[in-house]
Amino acid sequence: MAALEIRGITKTFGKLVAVDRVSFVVEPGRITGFIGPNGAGKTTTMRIAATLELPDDGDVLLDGVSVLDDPRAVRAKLGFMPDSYGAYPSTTLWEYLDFFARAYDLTGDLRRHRVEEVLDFTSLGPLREKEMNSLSKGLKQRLCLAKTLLHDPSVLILDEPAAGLDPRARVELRELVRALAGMGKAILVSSHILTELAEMCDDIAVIEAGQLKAKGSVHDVTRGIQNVVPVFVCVLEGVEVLERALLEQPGVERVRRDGEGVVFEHAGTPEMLSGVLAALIAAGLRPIEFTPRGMDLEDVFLSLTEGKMQ
Amino acid sequence: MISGARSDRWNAVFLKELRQALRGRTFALTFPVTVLLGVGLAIAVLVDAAGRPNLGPTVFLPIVGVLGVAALGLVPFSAFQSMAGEWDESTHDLLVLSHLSPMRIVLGKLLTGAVESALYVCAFLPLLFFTFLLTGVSVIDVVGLVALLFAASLAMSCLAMALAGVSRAKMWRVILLALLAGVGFLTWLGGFYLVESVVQRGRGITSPYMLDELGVVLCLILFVGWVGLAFAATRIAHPEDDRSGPVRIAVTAAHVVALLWLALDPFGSIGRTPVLPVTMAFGVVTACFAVFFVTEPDRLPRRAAARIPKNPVLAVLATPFLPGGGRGVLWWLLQLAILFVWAVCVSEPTTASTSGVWDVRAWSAATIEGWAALMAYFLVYLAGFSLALTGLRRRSYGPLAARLILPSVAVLSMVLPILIGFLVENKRWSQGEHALMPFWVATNSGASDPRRVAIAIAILVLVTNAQRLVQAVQEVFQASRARRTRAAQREEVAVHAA
Repeated sequence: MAALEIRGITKTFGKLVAVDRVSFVVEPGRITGFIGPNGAGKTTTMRIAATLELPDDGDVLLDGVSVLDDPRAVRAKLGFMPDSYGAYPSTTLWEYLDFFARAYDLTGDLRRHRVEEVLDFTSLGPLREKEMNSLSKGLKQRLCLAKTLLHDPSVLILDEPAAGLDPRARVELRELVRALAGMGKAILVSSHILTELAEMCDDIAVIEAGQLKAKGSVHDVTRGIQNVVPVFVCVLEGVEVLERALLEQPGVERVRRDGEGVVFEHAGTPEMLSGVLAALIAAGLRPIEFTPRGMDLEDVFLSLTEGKMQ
Repeated sequence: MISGARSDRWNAVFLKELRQALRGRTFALTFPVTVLLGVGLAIAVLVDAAGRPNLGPTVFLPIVGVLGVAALGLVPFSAFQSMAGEWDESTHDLLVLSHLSPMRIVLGKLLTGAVESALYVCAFLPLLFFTFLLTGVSVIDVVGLVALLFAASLAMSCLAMALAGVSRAKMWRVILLALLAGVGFLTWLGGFYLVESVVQRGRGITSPYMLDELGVVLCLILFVGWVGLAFAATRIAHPEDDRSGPVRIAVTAAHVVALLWLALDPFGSIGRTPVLPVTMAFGVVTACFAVFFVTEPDRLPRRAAARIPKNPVLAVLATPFLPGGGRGVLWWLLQLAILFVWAVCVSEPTTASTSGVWDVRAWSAATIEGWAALMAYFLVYLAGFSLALTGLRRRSYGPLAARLILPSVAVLSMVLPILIGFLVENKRWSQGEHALMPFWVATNSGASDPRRVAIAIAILVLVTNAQRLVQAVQEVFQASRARRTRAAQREEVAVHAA
């Protein structure tokens, strides 16, 4: 059973269809990146999954529990980190976490233990007596993540967690999210910073104008778009021989010089590509580099979306 | 202690708010300033009036005036800010996602207001008791008035939270804050007059006249506090949750308790109940709430549907208290029925009766017809017109527009003939003696034709509303059945799993 299953949800605001029959799943221990331009319907989808909005149609299941039937049970399993985190003035980090731990009905030693645990996990322990308002944005994001983890949810929904963070804070946040996935939590994370998601996510779901454009593992989605794989080959000597040899191989299209080496486009399976390398070696060529150049997430995003606004 | 194990069972919002309030700049500044102002004023009055006999009341009034500003102004303002802050600081979603129910959240904020009020009272209490030593003020008066002020402060805090939840737009917030300030000022003025009556005019809090007056004030405080608290809780709830049920229950309970108190007069302090003014007042007050309920969208919100009792009998009994315009009409019918029964029972018997007002034989047909006509007008003005606005209510701005149109139409129906009467020099119309004026028709036995017409129109309104009412009940039945089915399916799955 998927930890989070979004099942054909539709949400309209007046005449605007914010989310249109969107379906995908998030598996335990995996990080799913939710990608889309501004106003694509990411936040609405996440808020529906977090029980804060209701879909006009469809349903969202968390460990098989419907957000429509039992929102309270869903909230117990869910950690939601909204894009605008809430801060209370005149409150220290420890008090903030203690308050939310109480709000999740954690009592006595268990509450204190959990607060200590999340403070340690997010490396905020030394700052526990600091007031929230004096924290940097990166630390506030970490505190918000700590708050989200207090009741040990099995599913995490993180809406733009890396927005506005400096590179170091981003790296730290990425490490934290990866560590959480390592604990078996299912994580749905949206971000505009695609390089960030590329390094973090196992799966992606691409949404535009309320409609899901693609979903699946990063590799599968990339392969789905990328019919031909550009491959760079460099040999010790005999570039002309290399060009001719490549043109004789099955699946090889368009061969061109690229600096010291050659780039060819390959339209076959990975097995066929491996056969190309074997054939080159058999032909007496001595390759020193043989690198398939895949699309990055930014290429995937640009290829899938049309820049539609709504 | 606040963070210790003993506080495990305390309201989490209360603990958090208390920490914030006591550490925040607002309280740190206003508390000493208010106390210093009270002390300074007391000394100034004492010096000015030195040598006069019975100085107590002279010093008591300014001190309680300053305490009133803190309890009725500063504390509710703090509650308003705290509630509005949940949306402004984007913490509302985080609270909603936690295990805290809306009622626990508002109760936590109310408790914080109570502690703030109590701190002000504790700071002023030595000064107030000092006036007892100056003679002229009894200890009972001091304790009673301070307790009343404390209760009024809590009610104002409830009202403040309710107003803060009405809108998230900054402009509306300013208007609502101004409204709160206005109500606070009027309450302060009324309170000041009350205190003056007790201490300055020497009536004493235990005199029968003052007991009556204080009883009415206390009822008003309880009503405002109760309804304010229920309304504030509904504003925190999800739009698909039951957002009007708590208010419907609170108003009905207040309505029934107040009418029973008036009818039974347990302390013997009311004497003869002025039936017509009470019926009119209760009708108008409940109508103010009914305007909101009958103009709600007719559909039963999904999360409210998920909590409808599985027992069909309980589901039917709960119907008028569930959200939805049609169920709002049922709620209104229930209030009118309660008011009608009360008015008929409490009315003076027209024939000699051995068992008092509860003797059915003593009621004249004219009395019953009069009260029925009054209820008929109430029904027509609200339920009838709300049905006419069905098309409008479906639009996004519809409920707000309908809430403005309904009372306007009702008031215009009563006032326009009066204006026309002035213009055409019709004396009866200009004095409000016309068929659209419910209070005249209900009490004037000579107006039996308009009474019957009003009752007939009310029956027509009920008939035209029938589909809406049936649908309102059907929706509840279906939701109840759906819950039973789901429960049965879950049991079946559990049995299979076992």
